[in-house]
Amino acid sequence: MLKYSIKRLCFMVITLFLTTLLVFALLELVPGDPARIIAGESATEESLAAIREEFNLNDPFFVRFFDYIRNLLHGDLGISWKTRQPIAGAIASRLPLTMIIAFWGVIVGTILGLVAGTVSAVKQYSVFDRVLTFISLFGKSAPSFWIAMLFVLIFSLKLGWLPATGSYGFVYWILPVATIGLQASSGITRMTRSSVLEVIRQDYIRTARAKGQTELVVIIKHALRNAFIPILTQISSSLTEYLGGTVLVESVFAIPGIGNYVLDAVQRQDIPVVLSGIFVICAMCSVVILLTDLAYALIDPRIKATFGFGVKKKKKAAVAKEGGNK
Amino acid sequence: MAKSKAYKKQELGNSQLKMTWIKLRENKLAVASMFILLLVCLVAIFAPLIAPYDYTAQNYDEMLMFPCLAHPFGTDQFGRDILSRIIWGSRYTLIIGFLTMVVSCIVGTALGVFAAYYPKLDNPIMRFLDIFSSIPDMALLMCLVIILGTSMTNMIIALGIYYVPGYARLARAQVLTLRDEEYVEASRALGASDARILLNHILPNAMAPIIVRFTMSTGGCILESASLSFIGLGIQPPEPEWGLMISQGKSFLSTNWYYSIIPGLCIVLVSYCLNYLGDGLRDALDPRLNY
Amino acid sequence: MNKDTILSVENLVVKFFLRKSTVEAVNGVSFEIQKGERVGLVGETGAGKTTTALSILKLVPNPPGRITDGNIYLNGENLMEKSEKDMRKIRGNDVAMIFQDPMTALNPVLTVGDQIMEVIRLHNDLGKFEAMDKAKEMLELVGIPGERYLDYPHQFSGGMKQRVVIAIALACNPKLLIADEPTSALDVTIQAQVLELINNLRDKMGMSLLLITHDLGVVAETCDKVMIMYAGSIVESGTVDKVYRNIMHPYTSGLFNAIPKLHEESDRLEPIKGMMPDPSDLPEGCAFYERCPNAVDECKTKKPELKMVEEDHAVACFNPIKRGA
Repeated sequence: MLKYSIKRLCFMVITLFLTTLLVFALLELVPGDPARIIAGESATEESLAAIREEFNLNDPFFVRFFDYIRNLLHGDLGISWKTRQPIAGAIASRLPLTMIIAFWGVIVGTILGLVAGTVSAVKQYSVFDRVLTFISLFGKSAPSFWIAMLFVLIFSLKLGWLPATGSYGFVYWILPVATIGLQASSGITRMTRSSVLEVIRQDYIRTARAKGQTELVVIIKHALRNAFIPILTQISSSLTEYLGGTVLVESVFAIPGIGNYVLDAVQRQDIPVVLSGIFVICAMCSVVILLTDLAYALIDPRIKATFGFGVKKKKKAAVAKEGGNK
Repeated sequence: MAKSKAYKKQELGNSQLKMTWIKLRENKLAVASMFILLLVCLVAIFAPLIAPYDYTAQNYDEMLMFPCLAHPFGTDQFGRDILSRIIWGSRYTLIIGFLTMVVSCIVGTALGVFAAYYPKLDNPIMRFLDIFSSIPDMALLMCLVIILGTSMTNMIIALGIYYVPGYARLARAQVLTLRDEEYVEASRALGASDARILLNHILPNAMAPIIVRFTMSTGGCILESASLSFIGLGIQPPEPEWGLMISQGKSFLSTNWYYSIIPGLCIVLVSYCLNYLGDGLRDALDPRLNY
Repeated sequence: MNKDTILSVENLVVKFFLRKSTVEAVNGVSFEIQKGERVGLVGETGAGKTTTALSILKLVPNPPGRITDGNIYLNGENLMEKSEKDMRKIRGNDVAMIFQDPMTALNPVLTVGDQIMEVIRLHNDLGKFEAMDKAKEMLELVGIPGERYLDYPHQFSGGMKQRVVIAIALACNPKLLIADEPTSALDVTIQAQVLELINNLRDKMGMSLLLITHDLGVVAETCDKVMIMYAGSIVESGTVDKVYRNIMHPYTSGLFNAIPKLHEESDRLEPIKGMMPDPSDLPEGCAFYERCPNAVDECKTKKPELKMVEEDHAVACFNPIKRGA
């Protein structure tokens, strides 16, 4: 298990490094003179030169890239071109909001999706199944920002139950979380349904029934656990999607999260903010993917077996052989 | 009795297309979706004939009118007829969705096939695409838009890049499995060239999952393009793009709900139909395919 | 039905209602199993053997399957009148089943110990540790070291997995054990071991056995009685002695002719011609009519009933094979 974890961790660091390199290189392609973007149209030639010096814009590509990486390792995400403020501080104050909304949204979506998907698999082709399929396809077909506006229209403007915009505490997060929850649940419902359908046809489900086990335990203990790997993949990919994609929901609810921060930067061509924003988003996603990989091994002993304990495995194989030949 | 049934099945099996159509026809939702999509296509093609008003015509006497007989979907803050704008907007939605998919499908499939056929290229290509797809969609799209700038062509390129890795992975997996099938081995044993095997045996058989992905991703792509326009990184005003209309209607949500809700419903309708059609195609082409 | 009868199936009919057709999987099967008796149920794939077995546990997958007619008595109690809750008390406890493919019959994400313990705790009022001890005991009983309790199914070979399945089936000391082709998915060398194990444990524990197989040799070795099933009906039944010595149904005879015999000089086997009729489209008369060498006109229009032809031997045929013919 330790070997497996270390391997995954190394893999994650390398991917993250290459991703950063890719984004860094892509942002080099942004048209226009960076110094002019920083200083504005009316800047003089001297002030442009000073700015180039200040932001090290004259250095070659790889020097700047490794400077950036070195600063990253010291927790320095660079300085915004527009506000001249350190980016790390701005992101640190915005990150928790994005995380709260994305995590809670996906948790709500997971609960809804697991229940709905399992029920519609067990009652395949029933009216219930059809209705759930219809609803879950709605989540997949409707843009999140539109769902968000629908919620605002109904729950804030018509019913007046919840505040429409802003972020000053728990009640403000309910609608954004509900929006992401509804959308995330649609994918999770579909995956749970197809995965459980696959599993409940297996022989070991029949074995469990033949033991006299109740249907509920058969589904939860035997079916869901076996069906969980693809579902977990779906949950993890929803989470990474919403960590990077809260910008849509954030912009409807005017939540000062990391998505809005990057969007602002894109509109103002504030390259360092875009770069560091995307880096932070990618870093969070990498951690989510790493944890998912580790969770696979916990859920399915067969995955653990392909990596785990070399010596013990051989011994067990020997025992198995002896037993089989007896 | 049993025999005649078997014969019948065999006759139909002669044409895979025909068989698929017969199976698809049983799925009423998929057929209905297909008709709705055809209708939307017709609306887009004949937009100038159908639209009751000029979609750019401003009319300050009829600003923000609620849906009524003259304006079934109401008017916006410049007095423009929303129905006409939606009819014209369908062109953007369909063209962006379709072209993006065509571009990314061709590029992605080609990359996937190369990766599968030339082991030396396999790792570099696939790892490069892996890195691309490790960036969350909106983050990657924002990054691409800042480089390319906002225009319809650039949006298609950005979205196309985003969808390439998926197709490449799918095509590569298909080719790798099919390459070891007996009938491919057989034609290789007969001395067929790589290109011939690829075009005659592998690609036709790899098409089924690619077609299904095409249909389903078009729905996703329409959502992404609307999202980009919504946050101001896609189609720019005053064009009548649906996502953009939702965004413009946002400020009038409390007074004129229909302004942003109706274009949203149109997106939902098109995307719903694509998803149902995709589901139906998947079942018709091969019920064992799982996404 | 006397008091030694443990299982009595009367006129069982099971149908699968598919979208376009109705599959008649079991058509009026009746038989009895006495206490301690070993009964073999023989037939080719698709004859309805497994469905019959699953009906006894009321585990026919529903939808699409349904028991449409018939009664099943276990110890004199009609299972058709039992609620799902009562059935759960019977499954695994009074009637246990060993499934065909040990590779898929065990849950891959639970330890074998957990899976044995599950059935023990469902039917006995035992604490966790007592149940664990009992599970280890069961493992030892089927010839697996008790310390492998914490291992997962993928760490076992096919034969060992089938031993675990047997341990699960026997853990609660069932009165009737149904073994559905327990050896057909195993290597030939392991088959004999597993069969011997089932046989020994049956002798030790004294339960009744319903052995489903397509191997007439296994039945001869293991069983007291045999039933031959074809297209959802029993076509011949009786004690192994009587049936094997005096084959009467042309289908049974066909099955025997399809087995290679070492002591007879014969160049080739005689397979049964044709295929079993489509169970969603069964003919009006005898289901074996089209393949039968002995067919007479009557067979085409009328379905033969299972009739006693001698003591402990019944056959469903209008024109059975005559002795010495």
